[in-house]
Amino acid sequence: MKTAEKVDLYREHKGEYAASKKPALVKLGPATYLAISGQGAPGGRAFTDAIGALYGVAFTVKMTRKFAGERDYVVAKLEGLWPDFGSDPMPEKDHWSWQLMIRTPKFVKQEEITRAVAVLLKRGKGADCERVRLVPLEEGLCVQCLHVGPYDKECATVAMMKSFAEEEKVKFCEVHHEIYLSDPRRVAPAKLRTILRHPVERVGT
Amino acid sequence: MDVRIQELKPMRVAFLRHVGPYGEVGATWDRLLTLLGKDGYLGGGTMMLGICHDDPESTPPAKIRYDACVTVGDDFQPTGDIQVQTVAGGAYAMTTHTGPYNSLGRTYGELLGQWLPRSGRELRDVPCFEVYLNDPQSAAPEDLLTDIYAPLRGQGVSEAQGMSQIKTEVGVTR
Repeated sequence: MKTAEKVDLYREHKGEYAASKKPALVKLGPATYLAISGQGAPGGRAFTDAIGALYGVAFTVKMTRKFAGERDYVVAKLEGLWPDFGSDPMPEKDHWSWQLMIRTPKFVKQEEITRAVAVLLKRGKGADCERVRLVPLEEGLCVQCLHVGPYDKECATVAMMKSFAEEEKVKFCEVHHEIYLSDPRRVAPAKLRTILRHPVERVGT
Repeated sequence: MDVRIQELKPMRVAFLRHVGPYGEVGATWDRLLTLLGKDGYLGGGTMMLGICHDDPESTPPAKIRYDACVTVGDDFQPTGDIQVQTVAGGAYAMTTHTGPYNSLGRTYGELLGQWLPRSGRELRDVPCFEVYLNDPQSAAPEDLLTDIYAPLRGQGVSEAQGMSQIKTEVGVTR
């Protein structure tokens, strides 16, 4: 049986991931993510374990489909929602909340996640994978910008995004979103490339 | 050329052997990753390695032996034609190749043909291996990153460890 071409969401939605160092408005459609929520310092134990659990489920689901001859897809890049970003006062790093996510095709169903989690648990993989869920997200109109540099210097880029939002007569709402284009284990902090995205609403609405 | 000496611990890997030109290892990788992935052996710090047993300069392409490997824990048992071996620990010279896989030979040439003779070090009698840090699905050919490890004799590496061969566990054929 000839299977359909492999789905690559990053290429399919190229416009949503186009970002330069100058902020721009983008309109995001509905998307589905494989996601895990937690709390703790970025790079800390809880955070690292959550990434491991998320990728463990992502690859188990993908390869189970592939083995069965079902529609295949590319495991997309890691993304994160940071609800505490920009709050005043910001909580201590150890108490930051996050939702780590991998965009996943809509044809992947929750039963497949449940089955993959069962496979991983049987193998003695941590219970973290039981927290991995399929979640929908529709952010609508967003300000988006490419941040090049260390994660702890994002504030300057976000300030630029806020100024741009004011000029465009929109204001930040909802949650700060990051898309990780670089692997921090392999790329020097000064060269890390991260898309910063923040949903906005028209002023006065 | 940026080369670092690293002391590695032995690594247990599940692998499939490819015999033939390096340019055709993709199908072997595809099968290995599918079989291991469906059983939950991928993700969460898994490393992907390629063990190159033969020098393409002196071996006919049809006879080149290459092992596509994924690091596994002690719970993985050989199954079908997926075998298990332990990659020897000890001292290695490591350099990172940036670019398409079909230009890896040039970096090997610089490491083994230029850096090694000038370093005063000698190769151990175990194969070189590669660690793939990203993959062609998520990175453009020019952005592919591959760490190349060349095994070194002596200087902190015990001779017994240095001379150890890759140990293969025999699988149960289904």
